[in-house]
Amino acid sequence: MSPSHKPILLVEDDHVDAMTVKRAMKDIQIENPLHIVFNGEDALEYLRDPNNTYPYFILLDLNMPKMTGIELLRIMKKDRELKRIPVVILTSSREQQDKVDCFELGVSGFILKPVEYEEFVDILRTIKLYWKLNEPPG
Amino acid sequence: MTDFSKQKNHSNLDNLYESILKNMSEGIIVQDEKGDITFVNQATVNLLHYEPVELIGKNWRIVIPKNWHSLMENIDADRKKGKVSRYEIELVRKDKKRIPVLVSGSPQFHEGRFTGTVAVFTDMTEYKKAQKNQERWTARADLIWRVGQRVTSNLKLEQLLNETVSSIRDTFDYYGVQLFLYDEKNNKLVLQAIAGAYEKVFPEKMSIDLGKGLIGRAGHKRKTQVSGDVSKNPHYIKKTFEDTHSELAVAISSKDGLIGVLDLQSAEYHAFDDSDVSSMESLCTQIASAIENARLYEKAQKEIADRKLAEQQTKESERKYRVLFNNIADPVLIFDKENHKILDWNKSFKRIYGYSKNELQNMTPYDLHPEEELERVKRQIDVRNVDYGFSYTHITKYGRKIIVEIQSEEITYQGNPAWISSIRNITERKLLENQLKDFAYIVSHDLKAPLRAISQLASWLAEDYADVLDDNGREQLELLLGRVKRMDRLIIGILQYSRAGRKSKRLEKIDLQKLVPEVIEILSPPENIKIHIKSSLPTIYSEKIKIEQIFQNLISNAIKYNDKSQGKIEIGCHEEPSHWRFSITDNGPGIEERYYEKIFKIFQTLEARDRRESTGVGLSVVKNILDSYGEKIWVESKVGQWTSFYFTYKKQLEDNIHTLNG
Repeated sequence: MSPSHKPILLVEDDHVDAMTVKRAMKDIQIENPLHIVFNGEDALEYLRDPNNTYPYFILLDLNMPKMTGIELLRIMKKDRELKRIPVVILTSSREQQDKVDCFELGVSGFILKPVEYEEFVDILRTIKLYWKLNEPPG
Repeated sequence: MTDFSKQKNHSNLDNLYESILKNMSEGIIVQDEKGDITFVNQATVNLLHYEPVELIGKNWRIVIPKNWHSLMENIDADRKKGKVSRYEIELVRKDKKRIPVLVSGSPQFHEGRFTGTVAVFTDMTEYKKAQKNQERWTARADLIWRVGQRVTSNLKLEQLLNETVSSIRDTFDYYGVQLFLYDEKNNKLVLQAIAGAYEKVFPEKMSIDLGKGLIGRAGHKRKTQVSGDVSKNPHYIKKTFEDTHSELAVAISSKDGLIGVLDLQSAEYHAFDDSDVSSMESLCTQIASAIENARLYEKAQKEIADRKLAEQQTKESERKYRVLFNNIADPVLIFDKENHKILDWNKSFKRIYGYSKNELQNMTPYDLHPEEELERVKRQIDVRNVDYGFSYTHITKYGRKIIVEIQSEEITYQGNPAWISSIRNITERKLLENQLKDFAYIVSHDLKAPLRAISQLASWLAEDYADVLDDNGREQLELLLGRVKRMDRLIIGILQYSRAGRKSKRLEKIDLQKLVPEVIEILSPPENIKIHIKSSLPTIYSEKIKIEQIFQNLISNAIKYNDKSQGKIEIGCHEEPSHWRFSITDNGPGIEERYYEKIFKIFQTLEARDRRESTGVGLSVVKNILDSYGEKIWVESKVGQWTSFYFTYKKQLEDNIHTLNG
């Protein structure tokens, strides 16, 4: 993925799910640094810290303690800077309403967490291919 | 009177007297002191039809009826004392007919000795007749008056008829009096009232064809029939009872037509003369109006009684419905079809909504809905719509929101078109449905997260520690992954099941002839299994996704469990009056009867899951869908040979749609 120096932010409270992402990135050789936070509040703190670079994109879980993914999205969309960061939802929620809300808040993708690891690797590979071609704003 | 015996020696005088005696119109009978007849004149012969020789020398008793004998003996005794007597008596003619006479009897004495009587008599027949006529006229006037009285005093038809005939019979002393009424339907005259000789002879309700006999002719021609000697009348119908000699039949009719016939019979010949005819005719006019009045009265009485009965029945049924209406657990509302004003409501309605009578009378059903729902409600009102199972929100007087389903029918309320709406409060049910939905969500999301973790950790263990693990360790990890997959399918099953019972709002037209082959194609059955649609499939109204699920589950089961080298699956449809009955038959292993019920329960499988991976959700999903539509599913099978799954689906949706409105 390029630019390779830009980090990928993973907002995920489940430790194993975070491990999955980490492992899959390594398996398909995504070299971008992965930064993991455990809920929306931590994510916001990270994004607003001037010492941190804006992530290349955000992988966001919805169901999290303290601040959910949707709540985080709402805040980000009101922020002139943050609203431009691409967000891919990574969730186990099959609720139609969640999907509708997320796309209304301008997410780039909505992915259901698969049970099997191999499937997840395939999904991440597709994201990698997509982002290779994608030209995000500066 | 002349002293006859004193002058008997004068021959000239004898001739003179003889000539007088011969020619005088009064009868003269002379008898001696013993009472034996010694002389009769020509008038006597003419009157009594006896020749003189037949009477001379016979006692007076020969010409006097027995009942007069004792009277005569008394008179005789008086005469012997010299008393002249005048009396009315009857004489017996040779043919036994009695002749009324006025007698003047003078005793004869010779030298102080009683020698006999000279009786001069006048035929009183004509006088008597005239007198009888007079009596009759009086009686008739009286009768007519009495019948007239009945008209005003007695309005009971049967009683009136009976009194009419008995009055006539008593007054005129006719042999028999009958009154027939005309039965228009059968064109017959039916005996209604009878007095006199035939009372015991004529059968009750005896009927005579109109036009037959004297009675029938009188009715048919509406013209009085009279016969002085019925034996000579060609129209007379001979009865077994043979004493009738004269008959008079008078039609009773009004301007509207024939009412009946009054029939009089007499044992005498020529009993009815013109005056009888005219008086009976005028009497019949009165009888006619009396009968008409009585009939009108009875009709009015019957109408009153009918109306009372109808009113009572209406009251009873109204009361019944009122009780039902008030005691139905669901709120029920009646409102005008035109202006939608609320007209009536039951106890349950009042209890749940809390409005007072005055408030309700000024409300329409729209007032029960929240603002945002009004447009939808107005669209539905008065429209027969294919939506059903639709729910609405109602707000009670105290602001409580309830969720309701409404079923409406058109009725007539107090003569005007109206809607009756039965309202089902489904607030609780919706709450439960939502809880189930939440539960399903929790299951899918929260149970899946750890499952996913287990799955991934296990697969990493297998991968990262491949060198360290022996065969046993690898096998155990594989089993672990298998169970995780099964758990995942079960969770998906729960979700499917919970969604199956949820009905969507809108039904669509589904052509099964197209849908079923599509389902089969998606299932892509193996080569050795042939699927055959043996009858043409109908078009139904339902939710496409649900119907797909039904066929998909049933057909895939038939494929999955088939154990024959040449699998055969047949899909059929049978038409019943209100339903289609679908069948899916396979030549698989069959199902034992004791499992017929169990197979439809969630998570029930008949084989160990390790032998054949199955969640046991499929049939329960099918049943849940069909249950939600009020349809049935059942199974028939022969173990080792075949299994048939049957399910019904309503044919005409229109029949099952309830008009939905506010």
